[in-house]
Amino acid sequence: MNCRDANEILERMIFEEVRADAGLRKHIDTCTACSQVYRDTLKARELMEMVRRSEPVPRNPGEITDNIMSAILKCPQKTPVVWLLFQRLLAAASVALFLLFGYEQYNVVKKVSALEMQFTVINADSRYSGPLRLASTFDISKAGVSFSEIERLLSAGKGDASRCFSYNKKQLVQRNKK
Amino acid sequence: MIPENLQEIIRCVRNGDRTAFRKLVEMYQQKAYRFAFRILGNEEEAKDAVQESFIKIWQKIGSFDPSREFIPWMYRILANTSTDRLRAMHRHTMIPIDLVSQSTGAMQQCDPVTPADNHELAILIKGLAEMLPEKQKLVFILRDIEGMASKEVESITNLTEISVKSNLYHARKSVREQLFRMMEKERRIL
Repeated sequence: MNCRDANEILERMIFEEVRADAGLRKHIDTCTACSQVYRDTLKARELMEMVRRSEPVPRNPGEITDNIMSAILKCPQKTPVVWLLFQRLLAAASVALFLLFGYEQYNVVKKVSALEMQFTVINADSRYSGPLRLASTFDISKAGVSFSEIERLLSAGKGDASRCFSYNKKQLVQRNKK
Repeated sequence: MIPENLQEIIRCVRNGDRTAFRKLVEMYQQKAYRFAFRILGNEEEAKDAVQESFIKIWQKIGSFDPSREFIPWMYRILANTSTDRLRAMHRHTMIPIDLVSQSTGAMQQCDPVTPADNHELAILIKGLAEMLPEKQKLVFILRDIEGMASKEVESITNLTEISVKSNLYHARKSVREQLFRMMEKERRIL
Protein backbone atom coordinates (compact mmCIF):
# COMPACT_ATOMS: atom_id res chain seq x y z
CA MET A 1 0.00 0.00 0.00
CA ASN A 2 1.28 3.48 -0.85
CA CYS A 3 0.61 6.81 0.92
CA ARG A 4 -2.09 7.79 -1.55
CA ASP A 5 -4.12 4.62 -0.97
CA ALA A 6 -3.61 4.94 2.76
CA ASN A 7 -4.91 8.52 2.72
CA GLU A 8 -7.96 7.49 0.76
CA ILE A 9 -8.88 4.86 3.36
CA LEU A 10 -8.15 7.29 6.18
CA GLU A 11 -10.52 9.83 4.66
CA ARG A 12 -13.27 7.23 4.40
CA MET A 13 -12.65 6.32 8.02
CA ILE A 14 -13.86 9.75 9.13
CA PHE A 15 -17.13 9.77 7.24
CA GLU A 16 -18.03 6.15 6.58
CA GLU A 17 -18.11 2.96 8.58
CA VAL A 18 -14.67 1.93 7.45
CA ARG A 19 -12.10 0.48 9.82
CA ALA A 20 -8.35 0.29 9.44
CA ASP A 21 -7.37 -2.99 7.77
CA ALA A 22 -4.14 -4.99 8.06
CA GLY A 23 -2.63 -3.37 4.94
CA LEU A 24 -3.19 0.10 6.31
CA ARG A 25 -1.78 -0.79 9.72
CA LYS A 26 1.34 -2.22 8.09
CA HIS A 27 1.83 0.96 6.06
CA ILE A 28 1.27 3.19 9.08
CA ASP A 29 3.92 1.28 11.05
CA THR A 30 6.52 2.16 8.47
CA CYS A 31 5.44 5.64 7.30
CA THR A 32 5.84 8.53 9.76
CA ALA A 33 3.71 11.01 7.79
CA CYS A 34 0.79 8.59 7.42
CA SER A 35 1.13 7.57 11.04
CA GLN A 36 0.47 11.21 12.06
CA VAL A 37 -2.45 11.44 9.62
CA TYR A 38 -3.81 8.22 11.13
CA ARG A 39 -3.74 9.63 14.65
CA ASP A 40 -5.45 12.83 13.45
CA THR A 41 -8.01 10.76 11.56
CA LEU A 42 -8.93 8.84 14.69
CA LYS A 43 -9.51 12.10 16.58
CA ALA A 44 -11.44 13.61 13.67
CA ARG A 45 -13.59 10.50 13.56
CA GLU A 46 -14.30 10.85 17.28
CA LEU A 47 -15.44 14.44 16.75
CA MET A 48 -17.66 13.47 13.86
CA GLU A 49 -19.21 10.72 15.98
CA MET A 50 -19.79 13.25 18.74
CA VAL A 51 -21.62 15.57 16.37
CA ARG A 52 -23.67 12.65 15.02
CA ARG A 53 -24.63 11.39 18.47
CA SER A 54 -25.42 14.80 19.86
CA GLU A 55 -29.10 15.57 20.33
CA PRO A 56 -29.46 19.32 20.66
CA VAL A 57 -32.55 19.98 22.75
CA PRO A 58 -34.44 23.28 22.84
CA ARG A 59 -34.64 24.92 26.25
CA ASN A 60 -38.41 25.06 26.27
CA PRO A 61 -40.02 22.72 23.72
CA GLY A 62 -43.52 23.45 25.02
CA GLU A 63 -43.07 27.11 24.18
CA ILE A 64 -42.30 26.26 20.53
CA THR A 65 -45.48 24.15 20.29
CA ASP A 66 -47.58 26.91 21.87
CA ASN A 67 -46.13 29.56 19.58
CA ILE A 68 -46.88 27.42 16.53
CA MET A 69 -50.41 26.70 17.69
CA SER A 70 -51.20 30.34 18.36
CA ALA A 71 -49.64 31.41 15.03
CA ILE A 72 -51.77 29.02 12.98
CA LEU A 73 -54.93 30.61 14.36
CA LYS A 74 -54.03 33.68 12.30
CA CYS A 75 -52.91 31.67 9.25
CA PRO A 76 -55.71 30.09 7.28
CA GLN A 77 -55.00 26.72 5.76
CA LYS A 78 -54.90 26.55 2.00
CA THR A 79 -57.39 23.86 1.03
CA PRO A 80 -56.56 21.36 -1.76
CA VAL A 81 -58.98 23.22 -4.07
CA VAL A 82 -57.24 26.54 -3.44
CA TRP A 83 -53.87 24.85 -4.04
CA LEU A 84 -55.06 23.33 -7.30
CA LEU A 85 -56.37 26.71 -8.42
CA PHE A 86 -53.16 28.39 -7.33
CA GLN A 87 -51.04 25.87 -9.24
CA ARG A 88 -53.16 26.26 -12.40
CA LEU A 89 -52.94 30.05 -12.17
CA LEU A 90 -49.19 29.83 -11.67
CA ALA A 91 -48.86 27.58 -14.73
CA ALA A 92 -51.00 29.94 -16.84
CA ALA A 93 -48.98 32.94 -15.68
CA SER A 94 -45.73 31.14 -16.57
CA VAL A 95 -46.95 30.38 -20.10
CA ALA A 96 -48.14 33.98 -20.56
CA LEU A 97 -44.80 35.36 -19.39
CA PHE A 98 -42.90 32.91 -21.60
CA LEU A 99 -44.87 34.01 -24.67
CA LEU A 100 -44.51 37.70 -23.84
CA PHE A 101 -40.76 37.56 -23.29
CA GLY A 102 -40.30 35.13 -26.17
CA TYR A 103 -41.97 37.61 -28.55
CA GLU A 104 -39.92 40.49 -27.16
CA GLN A 105 -36.75 38.48 -27.54
CA TYR A 106 -37.65 37.54 -31.10
CA ASN A 107 -38.08 41.22 -32.00
CA VAL A 108 -34.78 42.15 -30.39
CA VAL A 109 -32.93 39.38 -32.24
CA LYS A 110 -34.55 40.42 -35.50
CA LYS A 111 -33.52 44.05 -35.06
CA VAL A 112 -30.00 43.18 -33.97
CA SER A 113 -29.57 40.84 -36.92
CA ALA A 114 -30.63 43.56 -39.31
CA LEU A 115 -28.20 46.02 -37.72
CA GLU A 116 -25.37 43.51 -37.81
CA MET A 117 -26.00 42.85 -41.43
CA GLN A 118 -25.94 46.56 -42.23
CA PHE A 119 -22.73 46.95 -40.29
CA THR A 120 -21.21 44.06 -42.21
CA VAL A 121 -22.16 45.54 -45.51
CA ILE A 122 -21.09 49.11 -44.70
CA ASN A 123 -17.72 47.90 -43.41
CA ALA A 124 -17.12 45.71 -46.43
CA ASP A 125 -13.54 46.87 -46.81
CA SER A 126 -12.47 46.36 -43.25
CA ARG A 127 -11.12 43.05 -42.06
CA TYR A 128 -12.90 41.36 -39.20
CA SER A 129 -13.81 37.84 -38.32
CA GLY A 130 -15.62 35.70 -35.80
CA PRO A 131 -19.24 35.70 -34.69
CA LEU A 132 -20.20 38.96 -36.39
CA ARG A 133 -19.20 37.67 -39.80
CA LEU A 134 -20.93 34.36 -39.20
CA ALA A 135 -24.03 36.15 -37.97
CA SER A 136 -24.09 38.36 -40.99
CA THR A 137 -23.64 35.38 -43.32
CA PHE A 138 -26.55 33.69 -41.74
CA ASP A 139 -28.73 36.73 -41.37
CA ILE A 140 -28.50 38.34 -44.80
CA SER A 141 -31.35 36.18 -46.01
CA LYS A 142 -33.30 36.64 -42.75
CA ALA A 143 -32.92 40.37 -42.18
CA GLY A 144 -35.44 41.41 -44.78
CA VAL A 145 -33.05 43.92 -46.42
CA SER A 146 -33.67 44.11 -50.12
CA PHE A 147 -31.31 42.46 -52.57
CA SER A 148 -30.71 45.65 -54.58
CA GLU A 149 -29.90 47.52 -51.38
CA ILE A 150 -27.13 45.06 -50.52
CA GLU A 151 -25.80 45.15 -54.05
CA ARG A 152 -25.67 48.94 -53.99
CA LEU A 153 -23.78 49.05 -50.71
CA LEU A 154 -21.41 46.34 -51.77
CA SER A 155 -20.44 47.91 -55.05
CA ALA A 156 -16.76 47.75 -54.07
CA GLY A 157 -17.17 44.00 -53.69
CA LYS A 158 -14.09 43.37 -51.52
CA GLY A 159 -13.31 41.85 -48.16
CA ASP A 160 -15.13 39.35 -45.96
CA ALA A 161 -18.52 40.90 -46.35
CA SER A 162 -18.20 40.48 -50.04
CA ARG A 163 -17.59 36.76 -49.59
CA CYS A 164 -20.57 36.56 -47.26
CA PHE A 165 -22.60 38.33 -49.81
CA SER A 166 -21.55 36.08 -52.68
CA TYR A 167 -22.34 33.06 -50.55
CA ASN A 168 -25.81 34.36 -49.85
CA LYS A 169 -26.31 35.77 -53.29
CA LYS A 170 -27.16 32.38 -54.74
CA GLN A 171 -29.71 31.79 -52.04
CA LEU A 172 -31.21 35.25 -52.45
CA VAL A 173 -31.41 34.86 -56.20
CA GLN A 174 -33.16 31.52 -55.75
CA ARG A 175 -35.54 33.05 -53.25
CA ASN A 176 -36.32 35.99 -55.54
CA LYS A 177 -37.02 33.61 -58.41
CA LYS A 178 -39.53 31.75 -56.27
CA MET B 1 -59.94 11.46 19.93
CA ILE B 2 -56.45 12.09 18.54
CA PRO B 3 -55.39 9.46 16.01
CA GLU B 4 -52.06 7.68 16.62
CA ASN B 5 -51.30 6.69 13.05
CA LEU B 6 -49.34 9.28 11.01
CA GLN B 7 -51.45 8.92 7.87
CA GLU B 8 -54.61 9.38 9.90
CA ILE B 9 -53.12 12.44 11.64
CA ILE B 10 -52.23 13.95 8.27
CA ARG B 11 -55.72 13.27 6.95
CA CYS B 12 -57.17 15.08 9.97
CA VAL B 13 -54.72 17.99 9.61
CA ARG B 14 -55.71 18.33 5.95
CA ASN B 15 -59.28 18.71 7.18
CA GLY B 16 -58.20 21.57 9.44
CA ASP B 17 -58.05 19.63 12.72
CA ARG B 18 -55.85 21.71 15.05
CA THR B 19 -55.62 19.03 17.75
CA ALA B 20 -54.21 16.59 15.22
CA PHE B 21 -51.78 19.26 14.09
CA ARG B 22 -50.62 19.76 17.67
CA LYS B 23 -49.94 16.04 17.83
CA LEU B 24 -47.97 16.24 14.58
CA VAL B 25 -45.91 19.15 15.94
CA GLU B 26 -45.17 17.27 19.14
CA MET B 27 -44.15 14.18 17.18
CA TYR B 28 -41.65 15.91 14.90
CA GLN B 29 -40.65 19.07 16.68
CA GLN B 30 -37.49 17.63 18.23
CA LYS B 31 -36.36 16.07 14.95
CA ALA B 32 -36.97 19.38 13.20
CA TYR B 33 -35.17 21.36 15.88
CA ARG B 34 -32.12 19.08 15.77
CA PHE B 35 -31.86 19.49 12.00
CA ALA B 36 -32.39 23.27 12.05
CA PHE B 37 -29.86 23.62 14.84
CA ARG B 38 -27.28 21.68 12.86
CA ILE B 39 -27.81 23.91 9.86
CA LEU B 40 -27.95 27.20 11.74
CA GLY B 41 -25.77 26.52 14.79
CA ASN B 42 -27.86 28.92 16.82
CA GLU B 43 -30.56 28.03 19.31
CA GLU B 44 -32.86 31.00 18.79
CA GLU B 45 -32.60 30.85 15.02
CA ALA B 46 -33.27 27.10 15.08
CA LYS B 47 -36.40 27.63 17.21
CA ASP B 48 -37.65 30.31 14.83
CA ALA B 49 -36.93 28.11 11.82
CA VAL B 50 -38.92 25.26 13.38
CA GLN B 51 -41.87 27.54 14.14
CA GLU B 52 -41.84 29.05 10.66
CA SER B 53 -41.60 25.61 9.05
CA PHE B 54 -44.54 24.17 10.98
CA ILE B 55 -46.66 27.19 10.10
CA LYS B 56 -45.79 26.57 6.42
CA ILE B 57 -46.64 22.89 6.87
CA TRP B 58 -50.04 23.86 8.25
CA GLN B 59 -50.69 26.22 5.36
CA LYS B 60 -49.40 23.93 2.62
CA ILE B 61 -50.62 20.57 3.85
CA GLY B 62 -53.34 20.74 1.21
CA SER B 63 -50.66 20.50 -1.48
CA PHE B 64 -49.06 17.46 0.16
CA ASP B 65 -49.74 14.18 -1.62
CA PRO B 66 -50.83 11.75 1.16
CA SER B 67 -49.59 8.75 -0.84
CA ARG B 68 -46.02 10.01 -0.40
CA GLU B 69 -43.73 10.07 2.62
CA PHE B 70 -44.36 12.94 5.02
CA ILE B 71 -40.87 13.20 6.55
CA PRO B 72 -38.93 14.08 3.36
CA TRP B 73 -41.63 16.65 2.57
CA MET B 74 -41.27 18.14 6.06
CA TYR B 75 -37.47 18.17 5.71
CA ARG B 76 -37.74 19.95 2.38
CA ILE B 77 -39.73 22.77 3.95
CA LEU B 78 -37.40 22.83 6.93
CA ALA B 79 -34.29 22.86 4.73
CA ASN B 80 -35.62 25.74 2.65
CA THR B 81 -36.62 27.75 5.70
CA SER B 82 -33.32 27.09 7.46
CA THR B 83 -31.18 27.96 4.44
CA ASP B 84 -33.17 31.17 3.94
CA ARG B 85 -32.44 32.07 7.55
CA LEU B 86 -28.82 31.07 7.12
CA ARG B 87 -28.54 33.38 4.13
CA ALA B 88 -30.01 36.21 6.19
CA MET B 89 -27.62 35.44 9.06
CA HIS B 90 -24.67 35.11 6.77
CA ARG B 91 -23.29 38.47 7.26
CA HIS B 92 -21.37 35.75 9.01
CA THR B 93 -19.20 35.82 11.99
CA MET B 94 -16.39 33.34 11.42
CA ILE B 95 -15.70 31.13 14.41
CA PRO B 96 -12.02 31.21 15.36
CA ILE B 97 -10.46 27.78 15.25
CA ASP B 98 -9.13 28.09 18.83
CA LEU B 99 -12.67 28.44 20.08
CA VAL B 100 -13.69 25.28 18.22
CA SER B 101 -10.84 23.31 19.79
CA GLN B 102 -11.82 24.54 23.25
CA SER B 103 -15.46 23.67 22.73
CA THR B 104 -14.64 20.09 21.69
CA GLY B 105 -12.84 19.60 25.00
CA ALA B 106 -15.88 20.80 26.93
CA MET B 107 -18.22 18.66 24.86
CA GLN B 108 -16.31 15.44 25.26
CA GLN B 109 -17.23 15.39 28.92
CA CYS B 110 -20.98 15.33 28.48
CA ASP B 111 -23.18 13.14 26.35
CA PRO B 112 -26.02 13.39 25.36
CA VAL B 113 -26.08 17.12 24.84
CA THR B 114 -28.22 19.08 27.24
CA PRO B 115 -29.48 22.62 26.53
CA ALA B 116 -26.54 24.00 28.47
CA ASP B 117 -24.11 22.29 26.09
CA ASN B 118 -25.83 23.61 23.00
CA HIS B 119 -23.39 26.48 22.95
CA GLU B 120 -20.36 24.17 22.65
CA LEU B 121 -22.09 22.05 20.03
CA ALA B 122 -23.06 25.17 18.12
CA ILE B 123 -19.45 26.31 18.05
CA LEU B 124 -18.25 22.91 16.87
CA ILE B 125 -20.89 22.59 14.14
CA LYS B 126 -20.36 26.15 12.99
CA GLY B 127 -16.63 25.64 13.05
CA LEU B 128 -16.92 22.54 10.91
CA ALA B 129 -19.49 23.74 8.43
CA GLU B 130 -18.82 27.48 8.44
CA MET B 131 -16.78 27.49 5.29
CA LEU B 132 -19.11 25.21 3.35
CA PRO B 133 -21.33 26.70 0.68
CA GLU B 134 -25.07 26.31 1.27
CA LYS B 135 -25.65 23.22 -0.88
CA GLN B 136 -22.58 21.42 0.39
CA LYS B 137 -23.57 22.15 3.96
CA LEU B 138 -27.10 20.86 3.43
CA VAL B 139 -25.97 17.67 1.70
CA PHE B 140 -23.25 17.07 4.30
CA ILE B 141 -25.62 17.48 7.25
CA LEU B 142 -28.36 15.36 5.73
CA ARG B 143 -26.03 12.57 4.59
CA ASP B 144 -23.18 12.46 7.10
CA ILE B 145 -24.74 13.89 10.24
CA GLU B 146 -28.42 12.96 9.96
CA GLY B 147 -27.39 9.70 8.29
CA MET B 148 -29.97 9.80 5.51
CA ALA B 149 -29.79 7.66 2.37
CA SER B 150 -28.64 9.31 -0.85
CA LYS B 151 -32.10 8.98 -2.41
CA GLU B 152 -33.67 10.85 0.52
CA VAL B 153 -31.05 13.59 0.24
CA GLU B 154 -31.80 13.92 -3.47
CA SER B 155 -35.51 14.19 -2.80
CA ILE B 156 -35.14 16.79 -0.03
CA THR B 157 -32.61 18.97 -1.79
CA ASN B 158 -34.02 18.55 -5.30
CA LEU B 159 -30.50 17.77 -6.51
CA THR B 160 -29.46 15.07 -8.95
CA GLU B 161 -27.49 12.02 -7.84
CA ILE B 162 -24.32 13.41 -9.42
CA SER B 163 -24.80 16.79 -7.80
CA VAL B 164 -25.33 15.22 -4.37
CA LYS B 165 -22.16 13.13 -4.80
CA SER B 166 -20.11 16.08 -5.95
CA ASN B 167 -21.36 18.38 -3.16
CA LEU B 168 -20.70 15.67 -0.60
CA TYR B 169 -17.20 15.08 -1.94
CA HIS B 170 -16.27 18.76 -1.68
CA ALA B 171 -17.94 19.15 1.72
CA ARG B 172 -16.09 16.14 3.15
CA LYS B 173 -12.81 17.45 1.81
CA SER B 174 -13.35 20.83 3.49
CA VAL B 175 -14.54 19.32 6.76
CA ARG B 176 -11.58 16.95 6.86
CA GLU B 177 -9.18 19.83 6.28
CA GLN B 178 -10.90 21.84 9.00
CA LEU B 179 -10.73 18.91 11.44
CA PHE B 180 -7.06 18.40 10.69
CA ARG B 181 -6.38 22.07 11.25
CA MET B 182 -8.02 21.67 14.65
CA MET B 183 -5.74 18.72 15.45
CA GLU B 184 -2.72 20.72 14.33
CA LYS B 185 -3.76 23.57 16.61
CA GLU B 186 -4.27 21.16 19.50
CA ARG B 187 -0.79 19.69 18.96
CA ARG B 188 0.76 23.13 19.00
CA ILE B 189 -0.98 23.95 22.29
CA LEU B 190 0.25 20.71 23.86
